[in-house]
Amino acid sequence: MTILQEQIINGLTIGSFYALVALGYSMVYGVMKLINFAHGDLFSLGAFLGYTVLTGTSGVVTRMFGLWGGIACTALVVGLSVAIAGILMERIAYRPVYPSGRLSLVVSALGMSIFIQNAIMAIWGARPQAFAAAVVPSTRLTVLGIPVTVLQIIILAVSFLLMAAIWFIVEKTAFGASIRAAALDRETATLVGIDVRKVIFFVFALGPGLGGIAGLMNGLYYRSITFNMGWNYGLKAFTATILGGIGNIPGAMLGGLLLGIFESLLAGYVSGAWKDVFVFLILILTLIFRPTGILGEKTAEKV
Amino acid sequence: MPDLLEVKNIVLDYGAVRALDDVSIGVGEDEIVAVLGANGAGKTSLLRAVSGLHRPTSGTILFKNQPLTDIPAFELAGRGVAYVPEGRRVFGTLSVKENLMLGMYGVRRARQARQLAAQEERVYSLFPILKERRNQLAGTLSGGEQQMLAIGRALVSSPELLLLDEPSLGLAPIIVNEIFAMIQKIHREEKVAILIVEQNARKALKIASRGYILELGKVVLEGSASDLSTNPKVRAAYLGSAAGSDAP
Amino acid sequence: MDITKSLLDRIAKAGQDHEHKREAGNDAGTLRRARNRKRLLVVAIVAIAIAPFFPFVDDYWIDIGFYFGIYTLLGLSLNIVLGEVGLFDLGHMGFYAIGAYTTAILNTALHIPIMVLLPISAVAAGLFAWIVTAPVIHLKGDYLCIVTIGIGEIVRLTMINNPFGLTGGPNGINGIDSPMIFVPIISSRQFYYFVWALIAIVIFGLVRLQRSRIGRAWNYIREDETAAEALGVDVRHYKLAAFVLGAAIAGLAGNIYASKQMSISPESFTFMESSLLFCIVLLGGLGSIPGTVLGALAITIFPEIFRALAQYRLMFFGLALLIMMVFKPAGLMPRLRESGEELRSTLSKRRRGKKATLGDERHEVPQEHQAPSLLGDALLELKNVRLSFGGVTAVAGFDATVEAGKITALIGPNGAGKTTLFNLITGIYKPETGTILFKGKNIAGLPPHVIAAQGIARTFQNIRIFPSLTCLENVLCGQHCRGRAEFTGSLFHVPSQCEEEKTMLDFSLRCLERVGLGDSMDNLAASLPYGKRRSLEIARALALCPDLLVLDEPSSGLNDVETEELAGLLLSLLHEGLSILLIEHDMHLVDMVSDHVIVMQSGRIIAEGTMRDMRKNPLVIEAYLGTEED
Repeated sequence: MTILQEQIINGLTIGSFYALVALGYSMVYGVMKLINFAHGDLFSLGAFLGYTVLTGTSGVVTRMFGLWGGIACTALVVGLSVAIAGILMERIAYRPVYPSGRLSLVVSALGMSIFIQNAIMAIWGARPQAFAAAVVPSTRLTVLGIPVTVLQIIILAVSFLLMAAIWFIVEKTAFGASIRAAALDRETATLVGIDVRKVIFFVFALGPGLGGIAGLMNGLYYRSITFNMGWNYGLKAFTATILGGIGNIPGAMLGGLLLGIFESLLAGYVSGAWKDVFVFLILILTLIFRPTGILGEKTAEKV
Repeated sequence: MPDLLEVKNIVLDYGAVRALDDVSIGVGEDEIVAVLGANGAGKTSLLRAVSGLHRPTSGTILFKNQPLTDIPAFELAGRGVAYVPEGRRVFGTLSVKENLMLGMYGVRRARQARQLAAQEERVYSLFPILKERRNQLAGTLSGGEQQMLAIGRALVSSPELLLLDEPSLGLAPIIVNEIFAMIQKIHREEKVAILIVEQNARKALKIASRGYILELGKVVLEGSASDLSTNPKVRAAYLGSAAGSDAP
Repeated sequence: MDITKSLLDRIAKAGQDHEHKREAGNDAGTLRRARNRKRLLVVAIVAIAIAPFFPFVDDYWIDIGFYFGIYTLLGLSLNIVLGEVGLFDLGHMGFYAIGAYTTAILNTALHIPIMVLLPISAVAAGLFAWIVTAPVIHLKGDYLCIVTIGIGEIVRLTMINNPFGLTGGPNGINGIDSPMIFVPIISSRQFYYFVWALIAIVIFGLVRLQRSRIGRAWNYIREDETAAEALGVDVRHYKLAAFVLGAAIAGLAGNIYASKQMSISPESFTFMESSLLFCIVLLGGLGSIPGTVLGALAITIFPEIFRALAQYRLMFFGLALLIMMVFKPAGLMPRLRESGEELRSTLSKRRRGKKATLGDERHEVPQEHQAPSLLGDALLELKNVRLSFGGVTAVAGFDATVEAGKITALIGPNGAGKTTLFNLITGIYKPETGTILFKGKNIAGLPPHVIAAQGIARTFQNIRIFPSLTCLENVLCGQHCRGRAEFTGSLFHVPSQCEEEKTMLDFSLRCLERVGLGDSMDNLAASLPYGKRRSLEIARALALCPDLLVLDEPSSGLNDVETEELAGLLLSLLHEGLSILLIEHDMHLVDMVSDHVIVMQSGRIIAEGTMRDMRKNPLVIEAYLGTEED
């Protein structure tokens, strides 16, 4: 029984990474109609920046602020830096290309992904890096008879808080309505007085910011990170986005968590080697049988 | 002399195509002005230039004697120019209420909070059907209702100038009559100046005080609505054979 | 769907920009460009042929030339799917892998010769593509893109997991033989010529396909899938065909690659490689064969030139992609559309002396249409047709008859279900109950392209033309389902295919002339002013030789004078024996042309008869016409 519960907790943790990354995909997709292939690499960037702040400074941050304080500070630094990277990415790679069409945008996004991935490799090297044991909390607890680590609880709590905050902003505030309006029709949004550039700025700051923090938490969770890990997480997170319903914020969260649990159960009970094959099969089956995702609404095509 | 909106000698190019060539028009504070012309004559381009969606290559656009040419498009709504785009373009997956709320987005925050409810009510009193549907998604409204919502969305920002692009497009005759009656009512009761672009020249000239005829990006004729509707050239080119027998 | 629409808008825009440039440089410019391309082709062929004999070209560079060839082959294969049909395929390496592994497994396990495996690999990759894409082919834009990424990854992961010990796991398969063409092909130079000879054959075939009924069908789908389907193109069939053909060519490349390397492993078939292919096609120019070759060259040469940068190489490569997209979004060598004259001349090369110009020599054209029924007979009958969307009834038990040789107008308030009814008649929706009899046959629930082929042609409320094709090519779409030529015919220019093409060209030109667009046949549709786009749409529908023309708000956006011209056209079509059903809000037009008016409200008929009767009908006045203004 405990194996099942452990797998589920583990799945929820991985799922919350997917969900955070999926949120970024979903928001960017909504406003730009672009699968931002570089988004997964921003996740890696977050992990590596976090590694440098926590381990690369030989633990100064941890000594100054304590174990949890250090992690909180690092999260702040990582979130902000990756958000800035996201904004720069939009300025450099997407804004100039936007007028020339969606296919060019896809190539631009692929180019950006290659660039970031190789920049990380050039800076931090091709071999995996590991977070020092001293900066990672290792306290274990038993909650309701299930063994968990404190880190898992914190990861879940932080993820849920962040997701709830995003959901509130997008669905319940006037600014959120302006984001949704800009996603539907940029030009008309401009005409009613929405500064679409501001919306894009926000989306490209928030999505990557969340992705960066997810990357940091992933690094803390697994401790080992590699320069090209973002691609796999990115693809999984995009699968989660589709599973939940593209452009749908609660959908992205639900999709991420479900995918995490599913993957973890597959790895535990079926086969670790084949789990990714099953994940992609699920993706394809979802698209065949419920292309709008679990929470997506059916929209009739206008002819 | 019209003084609310003055468009002076504007030229607008799309790539190698010249859409507007030295066009000058004006709208006075208490006017409905119609711009007529064939397809591709530049009517919509003119409205897009005024609203800042396209920057003219040369020429000036003054609104209340302030140049509009350097102001970003999204700031225009806050300054009293509201645009009802061709084909309505309501935000389909947002509710009617949210659509109206977004209409006030460009208005200063403080004013917005104070007035939102009042403005919403104002629109509902003009278009009672929208009140019934206020929690419905805009995309589920019928064409006529969407047109009302698009006009309502423009009105909540209390504009001084309303730009209407083909409000009758694709609507049933009974709805077209209703919309045109409503435009007149809005003009009268809300004291809004209106610049209207219409394919339906007959209807537009009926409510307008003055009009311009655009051909291939140039103003070829201007005058009072009554002069234009009796001008034989206009009748031949835009009003068709039914113009004489007024019953359509 | 929003995604597809915005994509098409963009393509249209790109086409427009292109057209502007063309206009700026006028006809002479286009001609010069075409001639330059011809010269470039000769230079390229000579360069590729003699390259290995230059003194400074050693085996290393010849190998690079070989990999340039492999990428060219792969680029060409993806260009069919992505460039011609506009399907986002980011998992193309999966098909390449299937080809390579088929060769490797069969060669090492059963010792089948490589040259025998060449066609087998192509067939295996094509078959695999058919199996995996058939269930997902209906997905659009980014959704299909994600599925292809998934397929590519599934293939790669499966190879790594070594099912049944077949694929050798992460280490792959070693010891693959060399091909034999009379002599064993071993040296770099031999492989170089082998791959380029194959490319020459492939390009020859692809150019022929591009200029055939099939290539055009692909382009129609890319431009506007719904319109293509409604005008008689079997969208599903042609999309699948593109995937199968693309995969088969990739399978060929896989075979050659495996035999040259003598070993393969899953590392060669990553997503990164698939995205490189995607970039090749986009760098070169969507649908452009010379562009694809150039794109492949750029991708192969880049890492060699920047070898000194070592580990920063790929980083700069990413940046280079960005820069390209900013400054040359349409690609290095965008596809040029052939003029009607060029299409014509490729068909009658053998009799060059005669030099028939298009339209000069009138071919026996299929009967403009065979009025199958007499005036007043029921052409289209709807019985108890019903459709609802999520509980909302759009069309509720509808009974109506459209008589042959008449113009029937369908009017009613917005949201009455008129367009839905049109979509039912033309097969875009399937009715829940009821029958739709056309010429006595039930067409309810048939796919749109089948209904179109039976003789119902339509136009759309918001004009749907194919923006980046020429006007003539637009109209040829209507003739598509009247043609028979499939792949073999188009590839080998069999006489029946040539005759058929000529007939289609002539007839389409006549349809263009019919609506007054004869002079614009070689202009891109995107360059037409709005009013003429309507005419083009009507010409395209006429080219189908329909019995029934179904027009959705044809006067929308036209002023009164233009509307009267339209009325004239409709009446003259009527006199030629065509029957017409139209949705209209312009009562002036309905007055002028209609014999019979059906008034619809909330999915039901509330009145029918002549327009004069309708004006007096209190129900119609209340629901639709309103009391006269003022």
